[in-house]
Amino acid sequence: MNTTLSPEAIAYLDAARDRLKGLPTDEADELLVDLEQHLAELMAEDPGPMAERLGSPQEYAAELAASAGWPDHDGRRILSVTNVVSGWKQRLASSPLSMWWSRHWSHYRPGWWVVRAVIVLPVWGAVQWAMPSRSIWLFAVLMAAASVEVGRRAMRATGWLVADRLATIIGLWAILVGFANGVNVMSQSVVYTYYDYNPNGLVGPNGVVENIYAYDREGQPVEVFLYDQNGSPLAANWNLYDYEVAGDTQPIDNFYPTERSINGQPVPRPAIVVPDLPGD
Amino acid sequence: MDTTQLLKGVLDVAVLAVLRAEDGYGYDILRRLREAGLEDVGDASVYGTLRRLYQGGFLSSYIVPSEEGPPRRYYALNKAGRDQLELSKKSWRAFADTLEHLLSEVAA
Repeated sequence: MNTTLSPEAIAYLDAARDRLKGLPTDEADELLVDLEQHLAELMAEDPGPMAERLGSPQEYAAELAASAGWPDHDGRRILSVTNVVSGWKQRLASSPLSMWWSRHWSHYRPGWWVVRAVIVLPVWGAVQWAMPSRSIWLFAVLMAAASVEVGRRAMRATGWLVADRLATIIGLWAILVGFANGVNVMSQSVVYTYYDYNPNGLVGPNGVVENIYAYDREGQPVEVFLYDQNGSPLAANWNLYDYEVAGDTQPIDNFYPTERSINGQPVPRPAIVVPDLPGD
Repeated sequence: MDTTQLLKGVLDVAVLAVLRAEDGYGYDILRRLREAGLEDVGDASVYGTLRRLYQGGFLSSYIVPSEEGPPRRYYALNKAGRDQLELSKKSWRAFADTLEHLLSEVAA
């Protein structure tokens, strides 16, 4: 790379490199590539001593770094973490997104002042919703006005900066909490759908009624259709469990007893004793 | 008045303006600035400014081989650069008008 440069130019380049040690390596390299190109151009045009036109390599490097937007480290490599952080801060500050942000943020700032005040209300919840809605609106307007005023004062006087920062932090906190609550509610509604609850089912003293056995007054088993007081078919909750219903046809929900089996074995009738009816 | 101090504030605009006409490499841009009348502009300031504008996303760059020495890095104005130049032009005009006004009051 240095083959085209004179010994004087190479010495100049090396001295400048030494002065740029405080910068991130890749940034220093870029600046030195430019300098190398520049020295080559100068050699072709102006045979005089380089320092006469450019100043000392230290001065040149300092001016180069400063005009490229780097803080002056006086050639010393400071603590490497600080070096890396400042490199990234610099890169971040000069990124197109950040340039765009700094150019447009002023338009959106008043909007943010209002948002950070109003967003607190729903998160604050319990206290605020207990108030009549007109009070909530009034309160929201007052909060927004206060927030805007704090923001405007913070732009003029540094004394208000702390209040402004605090309002921003509270606003961001409210957004985060609101977001977390939203996620929470959404995940809970998923849990609810797990229940395959049959609201038409019957519940007896032993819990869910799975089958119904009817007997006439002589104690003979009978088959029955069941209806409620509205004439709606009355069905037990058997479909909660893993029963197989005997036969190919779709069972009628309110016809009892239903014949069913577990693991291929028919479920037997329970043993019962029919009581004597008075008057028999 | 020391013009080098004044130059620092407006070098960005000057570099963008020079690149508006035609793409250029560092030494070429420096020469064009000097020919335009900015004789006091420092070599290092121009290179540093180019680098910063490039990092800021206002310039694109490409390499062109050179017969005399190392390859030359050419810079070109992109969309963001042209927008920035328009913006700077407006703020510069406003600033210059204000100062002009102030100075004429001093004279009166």
